[in-house]
Amino acid sequence: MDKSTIVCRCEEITVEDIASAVSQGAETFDDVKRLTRCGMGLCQAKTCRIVISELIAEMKAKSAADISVPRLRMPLRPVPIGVLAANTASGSFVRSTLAEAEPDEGQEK
Amino acid sequence: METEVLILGGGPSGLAAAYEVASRGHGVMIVDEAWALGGQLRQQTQIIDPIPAPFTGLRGFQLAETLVERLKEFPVEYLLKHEFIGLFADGSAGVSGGEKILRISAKCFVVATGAAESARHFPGWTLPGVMTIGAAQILINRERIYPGKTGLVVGSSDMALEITRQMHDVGINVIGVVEPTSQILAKDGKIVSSLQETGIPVLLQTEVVAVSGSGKVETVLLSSGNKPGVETDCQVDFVCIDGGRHPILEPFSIMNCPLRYEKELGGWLPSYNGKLQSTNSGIFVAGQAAGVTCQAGVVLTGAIAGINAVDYLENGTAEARESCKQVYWDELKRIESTQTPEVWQARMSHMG
Ligand SMILES: Cc1cc2nc3c(=O)[nH]c(=O)nc-3n(C[C@H](O)[C@H](O)[C@H](O)COP(=O)(O)OP(=O)(O)OC[C@H]3O[C@@H](n4cnc5c(N)ncnc54)[C@H](O)[C@@H]3O)c2cc1C
Repeated sequence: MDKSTIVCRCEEITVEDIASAVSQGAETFDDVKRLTRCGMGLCQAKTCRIVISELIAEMKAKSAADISVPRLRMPLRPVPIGVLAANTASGSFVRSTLAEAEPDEGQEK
Repeated sequence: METEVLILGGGPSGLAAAYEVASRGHGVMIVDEAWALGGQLRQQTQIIDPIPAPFTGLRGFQLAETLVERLKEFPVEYLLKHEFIGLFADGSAGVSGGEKILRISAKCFVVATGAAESARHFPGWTLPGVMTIGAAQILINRERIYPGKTGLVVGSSDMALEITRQMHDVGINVIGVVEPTSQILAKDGKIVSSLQETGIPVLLQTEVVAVSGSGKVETVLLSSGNKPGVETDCQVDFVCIDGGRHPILEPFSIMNCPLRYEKELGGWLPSYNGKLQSTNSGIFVAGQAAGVTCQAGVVLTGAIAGINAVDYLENGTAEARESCKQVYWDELKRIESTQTPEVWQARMSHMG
């Protein structure tokens, strides 16, 4: 694939950016994400997960099955913050979202 | 809100699951983010074949209508235009309608959220006018909009050739189908010969070097394995990408269902056992979410997951339900193992 090809279109990350992250030691999608912001845009990696995982596998001479799926987090769709934070009778969603995020921070999935 | 079985996704698999649950007297609710039921069948105008009785001879959208119609005699609850966005700490589902978040508690879930199309990458694939083949089908059959006047299709699966034919039928000039490998990937001989009748050429061993244009697609540059070093320009105003499909994973990730890689089922997908039950025991998986397959596979896995959800509610199975499941499994085996033996084998190995 041409080095200038965009692979994450939300954040405009190219093949070259991925290669550079891998050469700095990135081994997983999440590593590459932390170095480049790939998968952090509006679509939340729904479009780029597969191609970036395949590129990492290729660059690392591994198989696609060896590149784990990035941690996908709540909320699954963009939701207005007012809706998330609203303290309804059934409780605040934000609180449970944050509670979910904490325990496995830094852990790999 | 409360229900016995909460079905995420109102496509063919979710609707088939709902029928098995509702017709056995249990409560069921379907949540879908779309404004209508039927999932990705709503824009499919081709006759679905093979498909078990009583659905034979129907076109895709008619199959969707039939599955919806069949539920009318039961008290099924529907929550359309609502997205499943996460789980509360107590295991109830968080569903957003855009204005507030509803909390739905259920005894078990059937996740029937389907598959997404995969992209193919080349310089210029992000230009307006490059779209997936399924997106072109939605524009034509559902929105009644032309994706463009002159186009090129990249990839040659059954779905791509079928939709190329549909584009031709509505008067779009498709200049060709390019396939990077040395053979047409479509397996259905009828679809291949129906495309051949249109005269649209399939260019094997041909790749897209780049798509360019100012602010939109104008030119595609192709290179052919048969003529190394020679690149050909084509003037088009849209390009359709057929990159295959993969199960949507986000709901499983949120629900802490372990995933496993199975190439022939579309890559990563939730692990499940012979009951189509994920490792998280109250969660059943159906349709393309349980592996990319044909429409018969979608409807049958939905039905099987639905009956297993009933077993789960009733803490055990019953003879009538067992024999019903057996009929569905036999059908699934018959169809999958003849149409796509690699999918059937992968499914067996996935279930362990
Ligand atoms: C664009 C497109 C076109 C296709 N065209 C063809 C074709 O021409 N021929 C063919 O053989 N196959 C085609 N397919 C394959 C298609 O996946 C199957 O035909 C079939 O529709 C799958 O049924 P399903 O019930 O598993 O999922 P789907 O039909 O995809 O239904 C899943 C439903 O879940 C809903 N959903 C998903 N996530 C959420 C969420 N978080 N919250 C709420 N609701 C949610 C969706 O809105 C959708 O209605 C196409 C797929 C796509 C994506």
